[in-house]
Amino acid sequence: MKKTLLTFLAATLFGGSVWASGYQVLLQSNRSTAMGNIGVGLRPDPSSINFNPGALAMMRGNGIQVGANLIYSGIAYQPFGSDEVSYADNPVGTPFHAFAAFGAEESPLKFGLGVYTPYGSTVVWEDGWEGQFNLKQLSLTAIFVQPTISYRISEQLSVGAGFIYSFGGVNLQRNIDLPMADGTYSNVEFDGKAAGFGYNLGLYFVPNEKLSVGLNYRSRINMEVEEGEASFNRPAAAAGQIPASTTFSSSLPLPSYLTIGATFRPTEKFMIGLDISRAGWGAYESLRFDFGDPVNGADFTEEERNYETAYTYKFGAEYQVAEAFKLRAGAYYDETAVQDGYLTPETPDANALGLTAGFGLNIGESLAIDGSVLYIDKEQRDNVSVFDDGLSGTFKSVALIPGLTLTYKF
Amino acid sequence: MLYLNKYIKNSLYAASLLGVTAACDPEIDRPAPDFEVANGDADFSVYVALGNSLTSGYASSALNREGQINSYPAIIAEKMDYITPDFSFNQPLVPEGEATGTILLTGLTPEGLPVLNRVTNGIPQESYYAPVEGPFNNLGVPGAKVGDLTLAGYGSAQGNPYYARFASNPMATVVGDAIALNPTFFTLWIGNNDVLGYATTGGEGTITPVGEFEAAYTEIINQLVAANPEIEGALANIPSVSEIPYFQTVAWNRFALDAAQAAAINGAVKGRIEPAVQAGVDSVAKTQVIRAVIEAGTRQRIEAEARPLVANGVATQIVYQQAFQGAKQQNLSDAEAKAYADNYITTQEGKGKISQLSNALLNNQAPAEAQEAFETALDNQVEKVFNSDDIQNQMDAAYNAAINNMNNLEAVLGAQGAAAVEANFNSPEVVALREAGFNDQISQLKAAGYYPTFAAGPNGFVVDEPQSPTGLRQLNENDLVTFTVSAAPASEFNPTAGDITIPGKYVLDVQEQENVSQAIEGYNQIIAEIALENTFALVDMNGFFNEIVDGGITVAGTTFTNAFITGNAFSLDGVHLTQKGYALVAQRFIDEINEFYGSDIPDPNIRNYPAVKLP
Repeated sequence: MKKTLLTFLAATLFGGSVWASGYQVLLQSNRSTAMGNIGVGLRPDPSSINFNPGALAMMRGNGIQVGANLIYSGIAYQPFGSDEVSYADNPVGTPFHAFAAFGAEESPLKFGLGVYTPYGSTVVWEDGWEGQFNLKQLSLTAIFVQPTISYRISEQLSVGAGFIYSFGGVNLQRNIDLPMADGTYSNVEFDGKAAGFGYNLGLYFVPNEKLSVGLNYRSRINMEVEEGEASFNRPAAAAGQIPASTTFSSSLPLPSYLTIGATFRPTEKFMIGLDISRAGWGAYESLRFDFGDPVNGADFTEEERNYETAYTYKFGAEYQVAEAFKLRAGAYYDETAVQDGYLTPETPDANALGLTAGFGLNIGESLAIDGSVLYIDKEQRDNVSVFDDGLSGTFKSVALIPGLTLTYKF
Repeated sequence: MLYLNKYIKNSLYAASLLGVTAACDPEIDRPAPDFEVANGDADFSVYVALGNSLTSGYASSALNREGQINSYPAIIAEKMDYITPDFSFNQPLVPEGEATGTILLTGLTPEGLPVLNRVTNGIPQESYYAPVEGPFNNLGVPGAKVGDLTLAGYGSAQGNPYYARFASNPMATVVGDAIALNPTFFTLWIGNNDVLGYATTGGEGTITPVGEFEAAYTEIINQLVAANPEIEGALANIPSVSEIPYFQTVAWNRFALDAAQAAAINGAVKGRIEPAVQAGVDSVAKTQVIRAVIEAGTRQRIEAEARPLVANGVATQIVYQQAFQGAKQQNLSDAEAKAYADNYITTQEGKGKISQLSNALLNNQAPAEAQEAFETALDNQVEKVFNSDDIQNQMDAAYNAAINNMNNLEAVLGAQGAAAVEANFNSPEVVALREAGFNDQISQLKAAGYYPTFAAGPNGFVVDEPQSPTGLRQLNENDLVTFTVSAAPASEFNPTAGDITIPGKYVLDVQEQENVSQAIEGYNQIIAEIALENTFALVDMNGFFNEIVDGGITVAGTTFTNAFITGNAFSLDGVHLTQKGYALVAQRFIDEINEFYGSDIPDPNIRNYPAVKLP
C-alpha cells in the first residue's frame, strides 16, 4: 500500500501527451498546418507572431487572424501477454489562435499581439482500464499571450521579439490502488493553475524573390503550479495517511524550440518549404511535486522522465490553382522525446508521421480562408516500463485534425 | 466497450467521407504468439486446477463469486488462453452477492484498530448451494484435505457441500471429475487443510499423519497419470502457517489492562493460587509432623517396655562376668569358673546383686562403664523392635488412619499425640520450613508461567492448562495466539467478570507449533519427491510465502507482507489470500511452469486485482 501511495503521485501531471514532441502540433495557422507545419520561412502573415516574429515586419499592411482546429485523437494500449486492448476515447480538442499585427504605413516597425493555445488536450481512458492507477483522464489548457515587436532592418532582413506570458490549467484524475468498501477504487484529482514566462525571437531573410529563410527560437518556459489542489477520495481508514485534500506545487519545463527553415518559389505559382526544429526536451529530467500536507508520510514525490532532445523535419508545398485559390500539402516526421521504457499513459509518445493537406481561398482583397487537415500517425510502440508500477505493453496513437483560419487584412 | 470487427470497420472507413471518427481509432497490430513455441514442452489445451479453498478463490472466510472470478487458476487460465488455441476454463461460480459469513472490514475503532463484521444475511443457502452443471476446470473445494480428492461420496449430502454443488454425481470424486475433462495439464495445491485445522484451533483438530498423506497424494497423481500418461502439471507445496496473519495479528501479550484492573486480577489470581499452595505445603508438613509424632511415640513406648528387661539382662551379664572372673582368680579352670558363675547368678546373693545393679542402671546410678553398656544395648533393642515389621505396620496403619482423619487426630493419635502434632506443626522450625516451602513453590510456579501476574499495560494472555498445577498458564513470546481470540465470546473470555483465561483452542503452543511444522516438512518432502518422480513442476509456495512474511516482496509497485489488512497478501480471515495475493500466487505458478516446461505463459498484471477493501 505504501509503495502504491507514493508512486501514484509521482506520475506526470504536465508530462501529458500534449507536451510530448509528437503532440506538439503547432496549430497556430491553418496555412502552415496544411504545409507540414512549416512556418519560419513563409511569407509573413499575422501568425508569424508565433512562427517567426522576425518575419512580421515584412508583412504588408495590418491583419487580424482567427482560427481553430478540431483534434480527434485516440490512443490504444495492449498489455504484453494479453488480448485486451484499452482505448482512450478523447473528447474533441479545440485549440484556437488569434493574431493581430499592425504598423504605420511604410514604418519598419510592426507590432503584434498573439493569443494562442499551443498546448491543450484532453485524454480520457475508458473506465477500469489496465492503467487506471496511472491515469484516468487528463485535461490541460495553456494559453500563450504574446505581445510582439518586429523591425525591418532592410528589404532583405528583419528581426522580431515577443514576450510570452503563458497561463493555463491542469486537471488530472487517476485511481489509487486502494479498493473501497463498495468495490470501487480510491482516486485522486489534481487541479491547478499554471503560469510561466518566456520569449520568442525571430530572424527573417529574403535574399531574392524566390527564396526566404527564417530562424526562430522560442525559449524554454517553466510552467509553475503554485497553489494546486489535490483532492483524494479515499477510505476513511486511510485518512491518517492521506489527507482529504492538500495543496501542491510543481514546475514543468516547456522545452525551448529552435527552428530553421526556408521556402523556395521555383515559379510564381509554386512554393516549397522545409523546416527543421529542435525541441530541447533534455530539460525535462524529472517531475517533482511538493505537497502542502504530507501524503502517506511524504511531502514530495519525484519520478524521473529523462526526456531527450528531439528533432522534427517538416516539408510542405503550395500551388496556386487559380487567382484566389491555393492547394497545399505537406508532411513532417517528428522524433519522439521519450526514451524506451518511459512511456506513460500521459505520454504514449512515439516517432510520428504527420500528413497534411489544405487550401487557401481569398475572398476579395481583404479576406482569406485557410483550411487544413492533419493526420498524425504515431508508430506503434512497445514499452517495457522502467517503473515498478508502469505499463508494459504496446501503445498506438493517431489523430485527425481539421481546422480553419480566417484572415482579415487592412 | 464494443469493438467493431475489422470488416465492418473497413466498410465504415469507406462509407465515411470525412472518415473523422473512424480514422482516429488507433489499432494495435501485434501478431498472435506461436502457440507451439509458447506452450513449450507442455500442452495447456485442457487445464484443470485441483486443490482446496485456496484454489477455489476463497477469501475472508467465504467463497464468493468475485473471488472465484479472480482465483489463481482463473488468472493462470486467462494467460494460458493467450498462448493456447481453443482454450476454455469453466468455474463453478456461486451466485452474485455475498455469502453469509464473509468477513467485512466495516470501520476503525478510535484507536485505529479494524472493526470486522460478518455478513449475516447473505445469499440464501438454498441458492448458494444449488447444484451447477459442469464440467468445471477449477475443482478447488474449500475444506478439502488430501484424501478427500479421491474420496467417493465427497460430493454427496454427507460429503462437502461446496463439492456437492458441482460434483458430476454424488458418488463422483474430485479427481474423477477432473479426469473426465481429459486434462492435458493440471495444477495441484493440496495438503494445507491436513494441518491447518489443527493449527487454527490451537491444536484441537487433527494432523494427517505423513504416511497417510503420502498414500493419498500418490493416489491422486496415480489416477491422473493413469488416465493420461502424457499429462503435465505443477505441484505446489505447503507454506508454513505460523507466520500468517491469523497467528501474527494478536500478540501473546495483547491482554491490555490498566493499573486498577491489573491489581484486581492479581488479587483474584493470588486468592486462587496462594491459599491452595499454602494448604498444599501445610498439608505435606502436617503429614510429616504426624509421622514424626507417631514414630516418636512408638519409640517411647518400645523403650519403656524394653528398659527393665535390658537393664536386667545387662546387669546379669555384668554380675556373671564378675563371678566368672572371681573364680578364675581362685585358679579355677575356665570350665570350673563358668560352672561357678552359672550357679552364682541363680543364688540369692547373685540375684540380689543383679537386682541392685539393674536398679542402679535404671536410675542411671551404675558405674559409667556399665551405664554405657546399658544405653547401647537399650538403643539396639529399641531400634530392632522399631524396625520390626510388626511395629512398622502398626505405625503405617496409625499414620494412614491419621492422615485420613486429619480433622480429628485425637481419635487416632490420642489427646497427647494430637497435641504433639499441633505443637510440632506450629513450632518455629516447622513454621519456617512451611514458609520456605511456600515461597519456593510460588517462585517455581511463576517461573513456569503457572502463576500469572499482571501489570498496567500489555500482559500475557492466560490459558486453561490441564497440566499446570494451578490449572493456568500465562503465555510467553513463544506462544502463538489465534486471530479469532479477538472475537471470543464472553462465555469464553470475560476478564471484567473474573474469567481471565482463554480456552486452549486460541493458543498454538510450542509443542503444537512443532507438530505443525514437522507435518509440513514431511508433506513437502513427499510433494517434492512425487514431482521429481513424475517430472512435474514443483512450485515452492513455502519458500515463496517465507519471503512474503520475512520482510515482504514488491511486485508491480505493491509490497506484499504478512501484515493484517495493510500487507496486501492476506484477506480478512488472516489465512486465505486477497485477489491481489492470489494473482501473486498465479504469477508464482506461471514462473515455475515457464521455467520447467520452457513455455511462455504471460505474466498477469498484479495491479488489476484488488487487495482488502477499506471502509
